Amino acid sequence: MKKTILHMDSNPNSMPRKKKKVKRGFHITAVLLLLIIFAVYFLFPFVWMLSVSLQTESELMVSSGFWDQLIPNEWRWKNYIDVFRQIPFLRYFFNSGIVTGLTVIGTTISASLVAYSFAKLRWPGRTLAYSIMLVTMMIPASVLMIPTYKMYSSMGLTNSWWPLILPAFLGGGAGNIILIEQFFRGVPKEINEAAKIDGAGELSIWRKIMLPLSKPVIATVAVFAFLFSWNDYMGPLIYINDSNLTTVALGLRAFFSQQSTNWSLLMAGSIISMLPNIIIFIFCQRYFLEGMKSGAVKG
Amino acid sequence: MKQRKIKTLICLLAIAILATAAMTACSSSGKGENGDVNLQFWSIYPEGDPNYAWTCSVIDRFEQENPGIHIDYTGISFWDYFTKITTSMTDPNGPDIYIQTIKDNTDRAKGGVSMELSQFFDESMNADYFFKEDLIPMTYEDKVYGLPYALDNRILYYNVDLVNELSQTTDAQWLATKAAQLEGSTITGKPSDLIDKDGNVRAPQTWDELQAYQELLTKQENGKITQLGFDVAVGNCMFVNTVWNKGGDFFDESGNSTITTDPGVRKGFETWFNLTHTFPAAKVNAFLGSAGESTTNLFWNKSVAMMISTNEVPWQNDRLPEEKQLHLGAAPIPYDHIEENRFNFTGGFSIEIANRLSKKSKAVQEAAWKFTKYMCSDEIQKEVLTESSNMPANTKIYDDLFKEITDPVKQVVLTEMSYRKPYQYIYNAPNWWGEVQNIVTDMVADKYTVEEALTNSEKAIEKLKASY
Repeated sequence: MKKTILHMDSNPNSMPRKKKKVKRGFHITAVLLLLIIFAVYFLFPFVWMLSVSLQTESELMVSSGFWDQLIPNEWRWKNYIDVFRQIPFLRYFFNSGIVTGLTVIGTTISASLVAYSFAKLRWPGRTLAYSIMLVTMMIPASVLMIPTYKMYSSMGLTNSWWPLILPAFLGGGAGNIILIEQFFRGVPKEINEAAKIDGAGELSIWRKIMLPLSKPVIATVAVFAFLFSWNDYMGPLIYINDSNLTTVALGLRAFFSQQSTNWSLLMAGSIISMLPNIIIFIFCQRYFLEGMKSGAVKG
Repeated sequence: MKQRKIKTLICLLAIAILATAAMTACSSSGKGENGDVNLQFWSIYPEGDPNYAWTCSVIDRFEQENPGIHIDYTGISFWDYFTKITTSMTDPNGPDIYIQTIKDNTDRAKGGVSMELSQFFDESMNADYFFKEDLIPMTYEDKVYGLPYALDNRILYYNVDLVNELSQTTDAQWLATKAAQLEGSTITGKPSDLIDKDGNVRAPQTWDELQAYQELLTKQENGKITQLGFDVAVGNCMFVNTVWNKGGDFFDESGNSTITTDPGVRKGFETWFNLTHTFPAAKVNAFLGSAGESTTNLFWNKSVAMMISTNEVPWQNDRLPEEKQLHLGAAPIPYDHIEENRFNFTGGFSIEIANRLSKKSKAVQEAAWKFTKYMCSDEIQKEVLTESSNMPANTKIYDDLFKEITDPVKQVVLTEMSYRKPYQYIYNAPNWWGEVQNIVTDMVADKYTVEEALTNSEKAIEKLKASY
């Protein structure tokens, strides 16, 4: 009897198996369809950007109808060169690179140091300091804009990159500190104790033990810092006057003139300025996802 | 080995920081060591803007004519300029001379931000050089705190070819048109009433005619609008115009609100309501949504027959490739044939000097005045029109402009400069028009009736005044 039953189950043309196959196929099709719809929904703005970046100004003004607006009549790849001719885009790119690079370095070093002190050290006022740090996350940035500007103005630091970079070296932001601190808390204290027995100081423990263990979360913080700094528009707007110091996010605003907007060049410039973000994300995706996962599990 | 790597990294970091410190732009105004005067000038044309090169050439020419005065120019995108300049006004790295908006100059005068300029007036530059209505908001306690620099106005533009389609309707249809039946209309029902001396259908001359044209020039297919005669959302149509052109005003001379008592204001609100309710909102919004980046595109791609917009439209038309240029017509914004109600809304830019300079030497102040005066000179003001498509503030050049500019559409723009009107400045409710605009928008969306909009507008202004 058993043999007969087995024989029946292994028949690929049996009714229950067929039903299962159909059901599975339907399920996969439905999921794929949903994913395609979501992909189109999220990718469409980028497709639109690309389309606008390949059209001329006059074409954008006079075209009507969805497909007429979406598909360029004449594929003007020259717009991507004109971006560099119309504004000093390379200089803005270079400036953004310096500011962002320094911000990433400053954030990862200072945030991990601060996080280490909260996670592993015992010092008077630690709990109060941590609470104050948490409170700073509740204050909207716009509220702090003018007092911060006044502070830098009184120090003579406006019209320079200092206001954009200094905060990265002075803690790097409460959110980043908390992210790293949560990870550090998960590291067993026995490791620290063993290192201390071997004669390591706190800085050595931070540098030789904690940092190597926390690569994913450090990479996550670095990616966040990169994205924030590269795309930061408000900071350069408020603090920078000299066009030699302007960053990409601010520089692209030159295409918004008083009477009109040069949408083609603006979109071309935006696509070029997006490329570092995309490259960074592709290469650091693994660390980013690991960091998010480990934070979730430990949290 | 590892320690060496870390030390190298720290060194590189230190170098980078030092390099950054070296990038700190040190700018200061005042007299340099060699006696030259250095001044910071801010304007709305950043590098990459079409007018940046022109601005730099103006500065170069000034410096050539005035050796010993050096102007350091910072251009900031128009859409960020006013945010930035507000925060930078008191900064030592802020501007010495700057472009600002005329309408709130009094605030800056009262706050001690802008320098009083009438002390420098002489025969070569004084209040007589400018339109009276532009100097009023720039005068505080009988002293002038800036010079008008570049202005705008609003005109009714229309696509002549689309509007001429009205002449192709049958006589019977013409006679029966709504235009012949409306109050205040000069159309008696004869087709010849609508034709101008060039053989084209003329522009509407009253607000009721405008609404009639709006209806007659709108086409629909399968229940969707394919061509719109007119819409307030296309171009730059200001609701204040309907009030002023109906003889109304929002305030009396003492600054008291007359919104609920002035019949002209009520008529203006009703006109605006009617213009925005000729067709169902859903259909109109669907049509406007097809515009792409700007609803003004609908006028340029011949989907909208008429729009009220700012002065630069004819110059924009010239810049299009010939095959895409419109057969453009222009007319004053309708004023119902009452000359004293002939207004078009105006804004404008001023050029001002930071009051910070009053603590510096006379040489620095005079240098700043020289540059300010230069920007308002005949030569530069002509270039304001040809290069930046703004209207010149210097009235002395308008006779020349009328002779040099023969295009009839541009002539309408020049003529209407004499009929401009800005928002009335109310010291304890400086942004009153923003509050009223929000209520008018809600009225258009049928959240309020006209009566409720009037009452709420007055309440909003009283609230602003109370919280000043």
